[in-house]
Amino acid sequence: MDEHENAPQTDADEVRHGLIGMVRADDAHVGQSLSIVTTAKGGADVHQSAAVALVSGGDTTMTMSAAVAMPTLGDVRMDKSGAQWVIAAGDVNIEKGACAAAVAPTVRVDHGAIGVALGWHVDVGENSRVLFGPLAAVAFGLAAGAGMGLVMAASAGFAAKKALARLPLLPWRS
Amino acid sequence: MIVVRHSVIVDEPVRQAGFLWTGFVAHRISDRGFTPDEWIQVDNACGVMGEGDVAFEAVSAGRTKVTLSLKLDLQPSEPDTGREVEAAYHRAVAHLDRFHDYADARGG
Repeated sequence: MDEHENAPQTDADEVRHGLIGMVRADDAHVGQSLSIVTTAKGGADVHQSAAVALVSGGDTTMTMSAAVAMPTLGDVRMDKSGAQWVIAAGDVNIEKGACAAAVAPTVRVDHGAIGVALGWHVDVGENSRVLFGPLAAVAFGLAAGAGMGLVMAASAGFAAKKALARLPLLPWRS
Repeated sequence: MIVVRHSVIVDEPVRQAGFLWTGFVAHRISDRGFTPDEWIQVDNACGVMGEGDVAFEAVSAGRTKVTLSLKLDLQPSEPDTGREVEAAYHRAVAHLDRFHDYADARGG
């Protein structure tokens, strides 16, 4: 377990209070941390954290957390959480949360909102809102634009930082 | 397939809530010429609103959560789906509100 970890990369299964560039774990347990990319071969349990990309090979549970993109091979359960893109091979359950686009065989939402739900089975629970049809397409476009912009901005910043580090000393960097 | 769910909690034990639901449905469709028992068996008491399901879950000894699930044979991409879902949700809310009032009046 890494406590108060601030590193560009970690292979620890459990991270708390961290500011991490990339988390690579077998089963990831991330709490009160901020990461750019979190990958897990198995399941991922994210609590009070944020990640740009959260990739897992198993089930993913998010509690009071946020993510931009969440591709997963298992089920996704979001409790009081938000995400922009959720793409799951299993079912997606959102309880008191929001998601711009959810793509899964079954999408279920309670007390939450989904911009676009693409699934064979969409379950709209109590006090929930799911956009369908042309309105959903507009929301999908806005979410896609904002998401891509965020990812590209982050990538450009990272690449610029790396490139500047390799350059010889320049007048304005001295 | 799109399912719209809504639930209400009534101050009745689960068994009594089931009986009250049957009575409520019979009351609602009494002017439609259906045989309530047959109708309930076929449509599981949701025929007023379309294909669906009703579930009773005890939340305590004296309270029951009644959940109505309406199945809509629509695709997310269809232009009218949003309106249909909204309308179905409002029908479910209205139906369960009526049931809540019915249970309050008839229960004991």
